[in-house]
Amino acid sequence: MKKGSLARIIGRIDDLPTLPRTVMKITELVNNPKSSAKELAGVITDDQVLTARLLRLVNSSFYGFPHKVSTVTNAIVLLGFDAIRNLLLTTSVFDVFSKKNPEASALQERMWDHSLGCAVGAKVIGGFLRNDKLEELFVAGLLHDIGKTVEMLYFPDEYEKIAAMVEKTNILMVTAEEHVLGYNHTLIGKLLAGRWNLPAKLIAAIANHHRPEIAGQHKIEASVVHLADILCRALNMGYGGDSRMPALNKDAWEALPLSEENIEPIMEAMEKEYESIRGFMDAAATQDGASGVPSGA
Amino acid sequence: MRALGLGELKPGMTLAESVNDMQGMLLLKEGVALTEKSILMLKSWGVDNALVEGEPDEGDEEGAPDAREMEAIDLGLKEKFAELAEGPVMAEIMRAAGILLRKRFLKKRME
Repeated sequence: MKKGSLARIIGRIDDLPTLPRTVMKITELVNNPKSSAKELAGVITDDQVLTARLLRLVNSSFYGFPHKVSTVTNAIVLLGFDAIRNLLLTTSVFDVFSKKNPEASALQERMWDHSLGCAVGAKVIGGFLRNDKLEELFVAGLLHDIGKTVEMLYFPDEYEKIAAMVEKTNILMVTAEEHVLGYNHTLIGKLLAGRWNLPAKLIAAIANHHRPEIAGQHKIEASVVHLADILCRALNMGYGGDSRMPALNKDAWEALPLSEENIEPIMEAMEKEYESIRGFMDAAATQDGASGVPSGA
Repeated sequence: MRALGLGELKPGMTLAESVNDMQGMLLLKEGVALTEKSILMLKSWGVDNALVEGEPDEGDEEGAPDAREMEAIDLGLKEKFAELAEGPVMAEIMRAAGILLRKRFLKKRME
């Protein structure tokens, strides 16, 4: 990667979006092993919008809990700090970018659909692997291509060149990105995730979803996201920036204790969950608007 | 596979997808062969359509747009996967995608 390019991203870092202050505070609390559930609940409940969204998500088909979870404290006790942090990230991430550029909205929506598809894929695969951090996998899938959104909204001239190249020559987006920028969206995503103080595991999954073999101890998560990316593309969930299918990384497949027979059931479960989560997100967005509470507050 | 209204279901046809009632309770499992009895049962539960295996007969006017869409789905997948489909895992992913995309299309048609 060219030296000047790295300097340029670093220079632009101040322009990169920040998470809502409350979410950053919560991330700090969660990262601190001394924090109590009471403290965490306190910070969350100070923010009405966040509280409402969190409880909606907890009570949605995301978990399919049989009984309604009605307080933040209950949610924390049921799910744990990390899960709560990841759920709040999920609900906040859309807002961070949604107001930036109204013209890009149709494409943006399709890119979000792809991210959502990957998030669902990661969660479903995690379920098959009996992984106990499904929210983390979900967020990793949701954010894996966040770098592309940053490019689209913050480097629009370069993004236009990249998109034109992809359309004209049908190459992979990473190839076009490296040609135009000197680096690709995984690096941007990695820098952004670092800035948002996300845990190392998430950063690794975002940074290495194209090359899970270099993710070291976080290889499983990166491999899950890698596979989920492929599956949601096969199912035409949204648009991932190019129409090409990435090759399945052999190491990634071998790192996951899955067999070919698991593929169809995984994809079938993805279909079902994708529709219901999308419906939930749309309904939630409408509810935010209807209650008169500004989203992203 | 194709979507048929209740009136078009015939004994001997195979269900391509499980049928649930409006509360999500399983009525008939995917893969069973329909009988006169089971078709009547579906009717009494208020089911009005189902996905069955098999392609429409030649000269079936109603089947033509569906068949075209199915072809488009298959072509789209072939193009997307290209030579990657030579690997066994990718081939399986492509195969499963084909089935699920077809189901998705037929479901939308039924709405």
